[in-house]
Amino acid sequence: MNLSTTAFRWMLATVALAILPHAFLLPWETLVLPLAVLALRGVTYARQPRPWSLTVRAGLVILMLIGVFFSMGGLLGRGPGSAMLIGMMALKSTEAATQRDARIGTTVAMFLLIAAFLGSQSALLLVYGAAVSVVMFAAIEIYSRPPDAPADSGLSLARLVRLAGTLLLLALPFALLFLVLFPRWSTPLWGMPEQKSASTGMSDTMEPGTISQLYLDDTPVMRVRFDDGVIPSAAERYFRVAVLWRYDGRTWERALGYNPAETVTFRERQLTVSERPKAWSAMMEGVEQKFLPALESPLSLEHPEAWRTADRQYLARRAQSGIVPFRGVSDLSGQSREGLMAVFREAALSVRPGRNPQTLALGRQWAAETRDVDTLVAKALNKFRGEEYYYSLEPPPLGANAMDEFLFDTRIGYCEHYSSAFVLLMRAAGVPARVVVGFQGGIVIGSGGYLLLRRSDAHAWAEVWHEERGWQRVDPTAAIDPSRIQEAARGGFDDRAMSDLSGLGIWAERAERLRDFWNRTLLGFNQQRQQELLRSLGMDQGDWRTLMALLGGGVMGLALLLALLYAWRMRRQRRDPLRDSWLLLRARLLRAGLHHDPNEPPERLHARARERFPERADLHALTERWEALVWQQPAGTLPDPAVVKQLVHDIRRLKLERRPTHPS
Amino acid sequence: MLAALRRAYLHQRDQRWPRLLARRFLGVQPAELDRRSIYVLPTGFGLAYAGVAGALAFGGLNYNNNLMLAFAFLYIAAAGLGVLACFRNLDRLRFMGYAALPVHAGQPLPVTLRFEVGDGRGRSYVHAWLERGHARHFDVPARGVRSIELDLSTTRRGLQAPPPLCIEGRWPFALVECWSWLPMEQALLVWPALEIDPPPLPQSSDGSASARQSGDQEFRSLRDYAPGDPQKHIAWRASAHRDQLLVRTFEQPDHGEVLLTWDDTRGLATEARISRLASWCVAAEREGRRYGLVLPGARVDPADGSEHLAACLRLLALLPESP
Repeated sequence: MNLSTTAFRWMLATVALAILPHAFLLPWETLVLPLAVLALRGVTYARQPRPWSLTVRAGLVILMLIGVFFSMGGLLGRGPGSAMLIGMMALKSTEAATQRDARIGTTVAMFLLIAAFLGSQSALLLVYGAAVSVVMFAAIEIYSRPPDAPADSGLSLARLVRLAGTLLLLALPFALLFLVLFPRWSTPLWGMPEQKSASTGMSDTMEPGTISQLYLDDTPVMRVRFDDGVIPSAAERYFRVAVLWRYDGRTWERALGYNPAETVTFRERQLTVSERPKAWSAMMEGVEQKFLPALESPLSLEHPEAWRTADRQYLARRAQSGIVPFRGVSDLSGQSREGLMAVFREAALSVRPGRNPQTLALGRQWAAETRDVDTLVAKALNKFRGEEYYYSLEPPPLGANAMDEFLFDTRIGYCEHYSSAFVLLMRAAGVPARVVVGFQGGIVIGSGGYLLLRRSDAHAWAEVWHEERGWQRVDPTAAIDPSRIQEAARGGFDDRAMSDLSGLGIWAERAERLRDFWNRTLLGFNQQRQQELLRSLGMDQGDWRTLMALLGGGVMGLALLLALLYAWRMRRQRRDPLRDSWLLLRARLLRAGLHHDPNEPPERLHARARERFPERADLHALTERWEALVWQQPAGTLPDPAVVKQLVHDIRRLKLERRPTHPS
Repeated sequence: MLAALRRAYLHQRDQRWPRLLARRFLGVQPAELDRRSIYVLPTGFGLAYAGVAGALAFGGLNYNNNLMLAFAFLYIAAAGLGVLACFRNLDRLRFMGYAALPVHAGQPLPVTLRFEVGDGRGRSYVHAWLERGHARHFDVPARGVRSIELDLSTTRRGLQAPPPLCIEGRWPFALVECWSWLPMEQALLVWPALEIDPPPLPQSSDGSASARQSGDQEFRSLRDYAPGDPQKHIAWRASAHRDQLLVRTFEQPDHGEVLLTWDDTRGLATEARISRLASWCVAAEREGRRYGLVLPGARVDPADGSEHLAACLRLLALLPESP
């Protein structure tokens, strides 16, 4: 039996509303066809509920597949997969008409709506999801009615929304209880399926443009809090993401694969100065990458899936998405425990012969003058500072001998150019050196509350090996004279290393703090936080049994509370003051020893009471007053509350001595 | 093999379980549904819903995606409350009893059932059926009553014990189906089937038939034509004026009485005899004659009127199969 037009349209609306948030995850044009089909079907259903012709449906499917193919460059993978699911769902509506079809539609809509949270966990989407859920339950309620039910009975929008809203509101405390107490997993069972169109973020290689593409992107990367509440100075705020060793004249790459199996054991250096350990905790907004940015130089990092490479990068075993909390301890003394093994020394000195001959020649020339690392570094920095080098995010393109062209010809570039030219010069001069990419600076939010790192804080710097002091950080970009920063460079990039700047306006900062609060309280809740919560409640052994017991108890408690509230409401609704007063009177009489007969009308009990207490005029008066009140009250009306109140008051004052029935 | 299993299952489902489960209410009137008599099972939609909500919760746990998890839990909790709401829609519903006016065997017997709600919650979209596939849905207002009519198919005359009554409901959200079985203890009377084209009424035993057939009948009034009326009684002129067939009725002072006896139907099988007698009773009543019944072991003195007809038909309906 076909659904009524109203019921069918509610179902279509649910599907359309569930599809909409995917506009942020998929190319928007893939949603045009599904939404158009849904709308058209909704309009024409009233006139023609029969399925569209097979030719039209087949044509639409082909059109949809072509659309997905061309806008997403293929039909495989997660993105095209969800685009096709959405498309098929919408096309299914062109042949849907029955209750069963509507149920399939709703089930898929429910899935699509919630799956959108994989792409974004914003508060706005939460509110949207809640609103769509109300629509969804209202739709279920409409089309679940018997098809032959009168079409207009109780279909008023207000009533439906009230029903669905009440249901969800009542379900909310239970859901929250589950959210907090349901046993969480410390590590996921499976990773995120491969996303073809990778989201932008830091990469583990550096080629021209890798970093500059991030400069205009203010998306937060992570928020860092320091246990002692003191935020390090800007010059100390370098967060390491990847260490790059290999250079082919154009692209910098890491030395090791990012695979825990390739971990090389290495000896730690003896430190000359004592460490200045600083503990911090971070909330990263994961973008399906494995990097865990760590404040330089990291001593340890706590994350269930973290491992450390030989060159002290921290990586997760699987790509991370959503809110990723982790903690770390870093040493701010400017030294590193990392040693340099022979294989790495080789890599840190290798230059590609034949490329960039002028640069290599300059480095060798410096090496002939001195072997002292500090002097060589100073020479290079002085070159950048003293000569006419410019900072620009839109440098002229470079050819095969890129560093030669940059150093001796164009002399315009940004951190990528300066760090890679510097490392190349050092290597030519015989000093082991490498490029490090990561984030630098960041914004201090709320007068020292926490540090916000955004993608625009991406940076590349260099490290040189000093035989006594180990790896030393050098930031050649910071050597550029501030007057030579060109227009195209946004903001005072150069200043950033030097001063704390709060680049956010007051409203932007408020929004940022709200977002941080949201991330910390809701999105960042995980197994670790759950355990902390249990500990704060005084339970140190928070295994899943404890949690399940707590959860069960909580659900029971909530259910009991709801039942009590309901019973109280019903009682209040049903309250009959006259009856209550009689129950009170009866209780008095029974306590005085009259026997209980459930089938006896009040008058009979009263008569027996008067017989038992012939001398008690007050009792006689009271029972007569009650009877008069009952019998003189017109049907369907309630007596004057004041009169009843007085009666109840007098009943309460009635004192009867116990006179049990004597066996006759 | 499979067919046999299916037959066995259907037998259990339609015959044994309902009676077994309805036993709880034997002798209880009114029967009030409660948690011990309401059964709950998920519907197909409920299972699909649970599957998707479970998968979303699983995904949310895996990715530690708290919003996903929150919504998955919200949907699961909402479904739980939906189950409760569905149960409460049937809980405390009272079945007050039923009655039916007899019909002739072969016709559907309309049974009127009465439901009552004593508390402040109305009940919505409750389904009731006596025969699978022939459900009626109804609402009962808060502190109100509702009567519905369910058809019961009849095949043979006599007292028919109705099957247990099924009360079921999926409202709201149709995630689960709640149902209960109630016994229908009071048998319903089914009159004998009428013969399709019965022969005319037998002659009266007093032999005055010829006198009464030929003539001096006293015209009394006109009434609407009913199939089976003799053609010569049609008042053609009056009918032409009214555009519908009318027949004359006559005072039949002395010859109206006809005694329908078991022996008049000699030569027929028992059921056919009963059928014919029933048809004659109906015909005699329609013709406005007084009629009586003489049956093996029973006798009804001639009379007329619907009560008399009902008494005669009842007697015929309850006649043993081999009198």
